[in-house]
Amino acid sequence: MSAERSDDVALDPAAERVADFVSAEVGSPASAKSSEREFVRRLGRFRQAQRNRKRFVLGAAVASAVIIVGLAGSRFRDHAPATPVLSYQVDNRDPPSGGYILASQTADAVVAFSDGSTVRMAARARGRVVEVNSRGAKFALDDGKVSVDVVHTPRAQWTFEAGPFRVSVHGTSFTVAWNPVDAVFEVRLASGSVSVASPVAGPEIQMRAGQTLKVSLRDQSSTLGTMSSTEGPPAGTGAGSPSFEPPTIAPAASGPSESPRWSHRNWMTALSENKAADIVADADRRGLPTVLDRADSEDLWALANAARYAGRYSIASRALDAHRRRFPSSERSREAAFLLGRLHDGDRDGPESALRWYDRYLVEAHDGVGVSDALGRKMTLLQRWNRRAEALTVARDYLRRFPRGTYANAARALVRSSTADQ
Amino acid sequence: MGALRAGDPDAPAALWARYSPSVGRVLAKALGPSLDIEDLTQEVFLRVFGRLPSLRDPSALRAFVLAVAMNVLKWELRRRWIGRRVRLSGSGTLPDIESTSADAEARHALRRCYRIFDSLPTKERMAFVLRYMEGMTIDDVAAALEVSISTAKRWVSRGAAKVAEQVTGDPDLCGFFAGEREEDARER
Repeated sequence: MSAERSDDVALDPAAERVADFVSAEVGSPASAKSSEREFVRRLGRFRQAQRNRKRFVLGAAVASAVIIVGLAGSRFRDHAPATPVLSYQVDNRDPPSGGYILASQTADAVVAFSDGSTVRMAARARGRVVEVNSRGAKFALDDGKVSVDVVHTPRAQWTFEAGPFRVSVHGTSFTVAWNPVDAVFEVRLASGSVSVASPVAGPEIQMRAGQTLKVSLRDQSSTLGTMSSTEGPPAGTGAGSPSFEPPTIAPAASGPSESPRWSHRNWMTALSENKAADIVADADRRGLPTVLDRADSEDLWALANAARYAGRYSIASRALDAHRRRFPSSERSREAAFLLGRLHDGDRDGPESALRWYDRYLVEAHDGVGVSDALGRKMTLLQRWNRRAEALTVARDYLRRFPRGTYANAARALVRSSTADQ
Repeated sequence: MGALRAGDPDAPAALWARYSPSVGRVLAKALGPSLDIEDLTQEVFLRVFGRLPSLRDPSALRAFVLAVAMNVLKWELRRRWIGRRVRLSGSGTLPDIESTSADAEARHALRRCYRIFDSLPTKERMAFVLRYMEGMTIDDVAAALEVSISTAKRWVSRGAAKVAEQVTGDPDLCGFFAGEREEDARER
């Protein structure tokens, strides 16, 4: 610690003592090949996200320029005043900050916009006015049912999002419902026309007045039908609320025994953009059991890592377990054993769980790149729990296999201290 | 550096292999060993690649990586500082300092040392780590923290003085280090 310190400020001996002690205790963290591979993978995703962002920014800049030029031209031509941005109230009061609206347990909440359009949220519905502009608004429905009555104008632009679905509207009355627990989405169109973007049905679905659409993500089925004659227009337009009795749902073509297809969430990209908390929140929103049962390998792996980074270790552990259960022969599942070991490394009730996972990884990985790391961590864990004889065995094994490895110094120190004790 | 700029597919792994041990070591010393170190190290390198186009002098790559690491460290220390104030553990410190030592006394001493480090302002803690634990010259400390040499000297001195003062005022630590000195003398 002293070779480089001849320059200027005199060193404080007490502070130096502390520094030397801490440096020796902390040593060097693991920098295994597995970390390198994980980094290279993250970097690839990061670069892809950067490229996408650049394309988006460029596209947005071009689009903005076109819009500005168009607007300026139109203003010069017409000398017309700019259309004001719409405002809205919730139950005749100013909107809540952030636009988040939670309808009460027993009564509807009415969101009234300044152009006369209304969104009636059924009791217990949750949603948010995401954006308001001069031509309409964007509304996100988190859970429950809303009845919408949009005033028709030539350039109206309204969007309603519910889970992974998006309903684009011009001037119309309809009801939309979203049940995130059962992953069921439903639209009933009383008048006008809407188009629905659905992750199940492929291209946008154009709906006409009197039609209904019901999509079940779980069954991977979608049904476009007609409203029965007994059904009136949606609530808020003067008649009763639609019953939302389940219409005829077409069963999935592949039969009920086949596992439903997971709609890829691209969480790996989100992870590379440091959106770990968003990923965990998204998984929570979709229902963790559903995600653990259905997510594809990539999304599940991203969730496990996002939960680790966000400090949600229980979710991380469940995601890693699920990955091993559902994709047992994959390389990620082998790595999952190691990560599970790390997650249990700090267990207060003993090292057994972590040791079990490290051992399992050592068996499964055989001579894999993370073996040095797993052995080293196993050794330090045993030391920490004062199981010196076992730690010593692992230390000797480590030195035999990785004499220049990251934990070699710690292993040698252990062997030396044991020799001194004898 | 040329390979990095030319987009050589092996360059990221080579850069990682070359600099990640030292970055991980500095982070571990500054923060104490924890699960986060590996993730933070990766975060450092992602930022390095994001900012690589702004590096004009290829010979300054090491200093550049270290400066980015210091930036990540600064934010992590601040995040932990807020964490300690928002949800203090019973002992007043975050329970994530783990020693690899088998010696219970050493583990206890290490926890107390990090409690002292936690009391330092972020900049003084970083300066102390680089100078005292990494053995850097004041010039290098100043470059890594992107401050003048006189500022770096001031931060190092203040950090070290506070550490020394608190260690001296802590009977347990004083006893521990006195015992260590005697042991060293015996070994010699």
